[in-house]
Amino acid sequence: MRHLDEDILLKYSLDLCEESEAEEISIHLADCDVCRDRLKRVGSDVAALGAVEVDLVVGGRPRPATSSEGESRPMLAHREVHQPRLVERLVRIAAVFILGAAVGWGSASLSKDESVCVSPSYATIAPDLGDDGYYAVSDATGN
Amino acid sequence: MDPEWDLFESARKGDNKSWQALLEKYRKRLGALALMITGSADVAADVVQETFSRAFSGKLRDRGGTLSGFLGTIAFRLAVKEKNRSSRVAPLDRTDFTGTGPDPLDQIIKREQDRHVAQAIGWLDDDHREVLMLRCYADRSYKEIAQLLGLPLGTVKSRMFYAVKSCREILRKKGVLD
Repeated sequence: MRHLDEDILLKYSLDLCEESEAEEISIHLADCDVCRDRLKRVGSDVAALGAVEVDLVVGGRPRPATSSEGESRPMLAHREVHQPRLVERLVRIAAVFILGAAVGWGSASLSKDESVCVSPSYATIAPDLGDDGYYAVSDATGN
Repeated sequence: MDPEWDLFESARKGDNKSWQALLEKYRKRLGALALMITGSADVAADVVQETFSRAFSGKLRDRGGTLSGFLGTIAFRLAVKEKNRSSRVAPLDRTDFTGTGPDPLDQIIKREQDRHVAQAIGWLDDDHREVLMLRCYADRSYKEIAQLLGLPLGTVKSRMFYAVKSCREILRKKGVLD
């Protein structure tokens, strides 16, 4: 008796055969102990590929669903994930720049009176003018 | 209807005992799916957590199928999305599933045979691995896989055959399978 090819057995085990082919194989298997044993081994190999277990630590139970929640949000498996379009992305980038500029301008305007080093003296920028109409300048000794 | 849906619904409504039972039943399998797609234990744990979160808050339109297929498909999609965007994801063909590298995964894959199987699956290319994962870990039919991946049915079947054949050959050479 001619035995079945290993690839044929694998195809049969994975349910990949056409109906007519599967029927022929079944007839052969009914009469052939050797091929039945080989098929069993192929089946156990296939099962091993799908039996890996990974022991991950998963956090707590997700928040319990409310009755309306389940109706409002379609599953990821059934919906397209929203990807921002180009215009949307550009608007977002522009908003970030405008916000950044506003914050920068705001912080600069808050520090009007700021000491800077003009070695060897320290000058105070933008204080009140002195009686003589000139800015007062102090040196490092505080005089 | 798959009786597991009752357990799921009860857990979803806040019953802690049902949640524990559901988690115990599915976390290792979903973890395997997520790990073998992303190659990162951290990302895989996030994917499993997010899978339950999405399943609990989502609209249940899929009750005609199995709970295993429902959760598996969510996990699959999340894992592929993470794999494509996350810097935490490691290239799978360089992930050491057998526990001999600098970041051994033997703490989370307890059985030695499973580590070798995971490694063999990790060496497959993405196209073949995804079909294998959907069939073996998300319980999807070939027709459903073809729809999910937008592929002809013949392509899905061919990829499944070569994925399994390739893994068997690797595992036989290593002496993991008889």
